[in-house]
Amino acid sequence: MYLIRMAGQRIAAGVLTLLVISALLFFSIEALPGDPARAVLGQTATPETIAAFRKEAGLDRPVLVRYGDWLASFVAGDLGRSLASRRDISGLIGDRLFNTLILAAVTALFAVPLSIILGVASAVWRGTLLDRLISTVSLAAISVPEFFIGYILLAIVAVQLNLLPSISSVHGGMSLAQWVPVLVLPCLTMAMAVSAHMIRMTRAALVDVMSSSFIEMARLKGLSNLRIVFRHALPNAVSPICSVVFLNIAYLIVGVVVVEVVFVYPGLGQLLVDSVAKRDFPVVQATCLIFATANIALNIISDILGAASNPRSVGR
Amino acid sequence: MSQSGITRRSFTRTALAAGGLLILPQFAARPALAQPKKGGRFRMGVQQASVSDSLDPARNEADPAILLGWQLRNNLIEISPDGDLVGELAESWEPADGGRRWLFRLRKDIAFHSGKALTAQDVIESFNHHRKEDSTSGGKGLLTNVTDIKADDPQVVEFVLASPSVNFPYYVTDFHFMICPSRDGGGIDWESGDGTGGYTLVEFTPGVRSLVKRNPSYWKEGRAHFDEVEMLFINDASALTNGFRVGSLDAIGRVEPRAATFLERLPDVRIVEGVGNRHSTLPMRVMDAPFGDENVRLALKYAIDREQWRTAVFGGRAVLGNDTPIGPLNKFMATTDEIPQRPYDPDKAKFYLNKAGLSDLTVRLSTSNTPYPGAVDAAVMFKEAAQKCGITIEVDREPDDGYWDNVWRKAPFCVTHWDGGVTEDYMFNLAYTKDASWNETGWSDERFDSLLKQAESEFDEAKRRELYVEMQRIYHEHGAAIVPVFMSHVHGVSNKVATPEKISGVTSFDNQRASERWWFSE
Repeated sequence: MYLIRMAGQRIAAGVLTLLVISALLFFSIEALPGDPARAVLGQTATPETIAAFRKEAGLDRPVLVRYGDWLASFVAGDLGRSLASRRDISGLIGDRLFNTLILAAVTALFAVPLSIILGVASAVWRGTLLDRLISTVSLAAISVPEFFIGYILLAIVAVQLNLLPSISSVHGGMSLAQWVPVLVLPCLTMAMAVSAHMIRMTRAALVDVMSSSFIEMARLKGLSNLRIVFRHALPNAVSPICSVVFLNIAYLIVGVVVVEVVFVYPGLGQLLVDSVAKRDFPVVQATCLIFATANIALNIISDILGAASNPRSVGR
Repeated sequence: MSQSGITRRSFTRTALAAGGLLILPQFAARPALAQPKKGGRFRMGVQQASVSDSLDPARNEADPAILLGWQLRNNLIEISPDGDLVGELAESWEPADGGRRWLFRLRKDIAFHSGKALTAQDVIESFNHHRKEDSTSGGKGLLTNVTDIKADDPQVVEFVLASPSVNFPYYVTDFHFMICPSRDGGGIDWESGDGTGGYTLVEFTPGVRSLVKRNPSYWKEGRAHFDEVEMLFINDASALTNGFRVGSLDAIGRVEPRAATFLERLPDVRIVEGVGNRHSTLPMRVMDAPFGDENVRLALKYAIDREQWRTAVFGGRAVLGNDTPIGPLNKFMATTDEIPQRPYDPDKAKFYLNKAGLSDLTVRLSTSNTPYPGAVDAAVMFKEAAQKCGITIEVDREPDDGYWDNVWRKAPFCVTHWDGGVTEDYMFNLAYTKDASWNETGWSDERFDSLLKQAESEFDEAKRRELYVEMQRIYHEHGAAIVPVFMSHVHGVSNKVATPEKISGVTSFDNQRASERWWFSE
């Protein structure tokens, strides 16, 4: 019961947050110097064609009216049309959202279990050579920006060894066999960016639990190390591990712009960058709201899972 | 936003470039070339892409849409690599009424991919698409002189002009004016990508990729050799170069000078250059002090080391500019006998500074790499060279985003980029007359404007040349823009790709027609 009430509250707060974000976005794009008509029509545009464009796109109406209209149709499920290409935004976003989600899912699928295993291992064998090795590598990976990791991988794997393609420009007609090789490098880059954080947090959470008195008790009882970790310590560390995992999954969805550029991967990030350059606010709105929704939803899930794993909160 | 500027038009007249020596292209000796071979999938890496790219010719602005447009469609006339006008859908054309009317006779038996036959109506609707009241087309400004387009004979399209224009046929070669099928009830069908061109559309995902396959019944002889042409849209310069290095791409365009120097050393690729009218200008706004003073402007013109720009910024793939926008591809570019090349001359710079009553001068120069890669380095070189002339240039690096909106035509002194003009009158009308929409300096001169009016309707070539050379002389002496260099269009192609002996420098990729002019040699 408590969980359902909590979920309800969180979702309501999330919707409110989205509303505030949409207003913030709208007015910050409005405040950016530069005019969509000029950005879209380019340097050959004359004052006459610019006026025609503004009229066609409805840019000649007051700001508040435009925001109101946008909000009304958004709530009704209509994302509107792109200012720049006049295409339906849902069509524009569909494929790219799919690409972004595939990249995030594949990365998460191997990065999350691997990180947790490595984190647990370094907590269990704390202070050993293995722990130090994992710490050093993960700290190094976390300190290097991901575009740099991307370029290094490209330079070695694609350019020098010529093992994998350097361009990951995926498209609808590709078979699974064609998808796999192009996904390897972007996934590897993303995995290196998020794993370090998850390893470090898993280790810290586990070490924290391992130093509590009931673990001491278990140890005195003479239980084996593995049994202590998996039967007693790990269940009590689920909540912090859950939150770091979901935080990083959210990052896999919203934080990929740079990796998309390096590998020419047609995801949502690239669409967002293009649209900001063109001051194409309906597309920026739609893309950012997808990102925001992903972030908020994953946070809610993580909170609920965290709470569910805690016997005290479930029993209440 | 397209980084590269303002227009992408100009005309190939390289024969005139070397010391004014006129070699008529048809008499030049030609080595026998291997016959173009058919086949293969040509993979191009194309920059300037955006998710908003469209098949609508009114929206043509950057490489992806223009390249794709000319894979699918034709114009009335095209420009050969030698700079001559060659009929595409128009078989012949002639002026009437002293250039007030132009008649284009259409080629017979031309069909669209859909099977529909080409008619005068298609041509009329295709042009009216840009001319209509609420048009947002970048080509609208080029047709302001056109008052009516009609066809009394179904094979002849007639353009009626407000004032005579000798060069009107050059205007119809513009990349906006691709011919699309007309619709019953008016307008054109651009959405389907149907056209009369050498390839038919398979897939177009804006900002990602396009794929076309050969039109087996293409009307043009000896063109469109590839089975398929795939374009991958890649804006990131290093991703583009990497893709080319590892062999995922057969050709890339708009290669940065530094990258070209590096690619040249690789074994399986070569650099192909189109000598063009692309140029950088440094406009000085005459309404802002101290640029209203002609002597200050002359001092700055002598204070720039053009040779250093040519070699250090553009790796030698450029031609020296002489402070006019008329470049190596223009028919009537003044020779260095007619207007001597302005050198880097600190003494002269100081002389003009004194003449302006100044002992030293400090100016701010706004720049960014938006006009072209290397623009910031170039500005710093200018600063160093000017230092020796008693001129202090403070280089202001502006944000790349919004440069054209916030800096260009606002800052008193900045760096810009133009792709050059279709003929002399085109370039002057675009940005150099008093009423030009894109006059970036605010400079004007009555005599200059009246010479242009004369030249526009002068059918005698020798006289026209005199008029245009005189205009260049006026601008060279009194004008308000420094034009340091004309830069070439630089491409990287794999050794498997064969290109004609000479490629067009009108704009990138052989004037955007690489897909139908190039082929695989193996």
